Amino acid sequence: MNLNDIQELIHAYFDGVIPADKRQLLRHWLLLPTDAEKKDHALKMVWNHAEPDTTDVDTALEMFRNNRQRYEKQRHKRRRLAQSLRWAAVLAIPLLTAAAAWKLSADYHAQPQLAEFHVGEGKIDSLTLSDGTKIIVNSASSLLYPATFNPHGDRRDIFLVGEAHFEVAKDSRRPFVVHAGNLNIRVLGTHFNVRAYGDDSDIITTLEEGSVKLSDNQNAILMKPGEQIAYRRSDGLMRRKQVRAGDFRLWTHDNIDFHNQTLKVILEQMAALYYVKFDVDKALDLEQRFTMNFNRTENIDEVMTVISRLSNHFQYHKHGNIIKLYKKRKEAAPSSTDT
Amino acid sequence: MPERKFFAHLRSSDEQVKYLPNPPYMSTHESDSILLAALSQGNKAAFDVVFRKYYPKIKFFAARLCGDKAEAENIAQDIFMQLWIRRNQLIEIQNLENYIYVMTKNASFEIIRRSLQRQRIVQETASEEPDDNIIDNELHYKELMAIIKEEIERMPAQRRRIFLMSRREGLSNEQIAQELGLSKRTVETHISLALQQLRHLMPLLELLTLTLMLTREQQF
Repeated sequence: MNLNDIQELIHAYFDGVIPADKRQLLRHWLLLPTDAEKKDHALKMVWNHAEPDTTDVDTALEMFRNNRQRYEKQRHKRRRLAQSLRWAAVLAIPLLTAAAAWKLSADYHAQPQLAEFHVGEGKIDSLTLSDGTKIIVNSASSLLYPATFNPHGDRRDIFLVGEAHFEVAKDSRRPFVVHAGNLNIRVLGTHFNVRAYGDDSDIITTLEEGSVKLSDNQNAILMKPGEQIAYRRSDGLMRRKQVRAGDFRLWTHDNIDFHNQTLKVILEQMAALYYVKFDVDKALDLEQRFTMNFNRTENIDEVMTVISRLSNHFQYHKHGNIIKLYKKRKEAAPSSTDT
Repeated sequence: MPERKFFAHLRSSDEQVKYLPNPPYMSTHESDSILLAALSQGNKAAFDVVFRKYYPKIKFFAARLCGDKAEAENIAQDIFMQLWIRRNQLIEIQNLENYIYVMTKNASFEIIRRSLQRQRIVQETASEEPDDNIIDNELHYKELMAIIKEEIERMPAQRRRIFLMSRREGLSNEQIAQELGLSKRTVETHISLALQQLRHLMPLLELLTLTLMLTREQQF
């Protein structure tokens, strides 16, 4: 059987398209040694592209913690060889090699304990690390960091899932490294923003001041202030853009104030804040100025409604995360009278 | 007045970056091993992060593979218990995700094996001809796939396009959304409709099986 057919069959199976009476047969087929490599390739593909929902993770995590606690209690009470053999039946893991044994020695025991800082959906919180680094963490994000950075170490490492803004305390002896997915963001002392939500296809790093080196397994680049790099998770491709870096930390403010600001700047900042694109009618005057105030908790629809009413010059239409602005048909001449 | 467009995402008006000529400062392997080192020391916060990241995928994959949701939850919990029990050996791992994938696959296969043994299918086919015959004669996969392909052709253009980008080209929902300028939810809806459409085929596919079985008997 060729790879394409195997892939189609396995995809159809995972999609629940194979009739019920055939499914057990297909499972039997999967276990057969014929074309095992091709079958595994197809299965891995399904695994890589799976986007499952995460609704019951917290409950499951609680269950895992309880199981682990129970396991540890029993282990300390007495040796239960039978118990561990039952767990061991699930699969085999290679035995410790000499290399691994060495790694378990002094060096690794020096590793600090990592603590987790988690911010729930819809919230924003901040923390200050032991070196004075200030971090503001956005909704649905997690930070893994050591309680104290090793004073004799040559680095300060933290892990990020989600979005955070960093003001890193200067320490030339110990570069600060943010690990987000496969990307490593290395700084000395600087202000920058990292957006690395698990379900985003890109990790977006925006630099306000200082200097930053981005690297992964294959490539490394240097960032300058005012630059924004999008790192594509799937293949490590990096794209650079010049931006007004401050726009990308607007999410850290409770309120956003515009004082006599041009529509151009307002839209640019809304685009950065809500991660939308604006497609603007040529005829619209983007130099008109507005004074307005938004609360961070308002969504893009509420914001656009307010702006379009204030402006009275345009209508907007939202397609997904693209917002088109059209010039309003009715002439907004000052002398016209509306009923 | 010049035309103006604003983009928050980096699609047009991007510059290609010039990568540094020196070897990268830190490889992924090294950064992974920091997390794995934390796991191997029994760092519970590190376990939490890894759990949150992989539990949904393990459960989803195992559930579809075994055809059993309850077993899938057991498999997922088993895997993390295994990782905990064998945490000292985790430093050996090169790629944590691949390792977890293999664990999930093996555990699921084991569940399937037990289920097949219970139904004595494995014993029955032990003396049968080589594997391909099982597929051709029993699964009728060629006919099955032909019907499915035909139904895909019958889908509305956008739905078909999105479905094929996902299943044939292997693009993620996010990648499809960016490629076509749609929201991720729209993409998900299209795929969901496509699957619904294909699942409606099932009674027909079952009828096909019956027909083929009867035809085969008649040939004798």
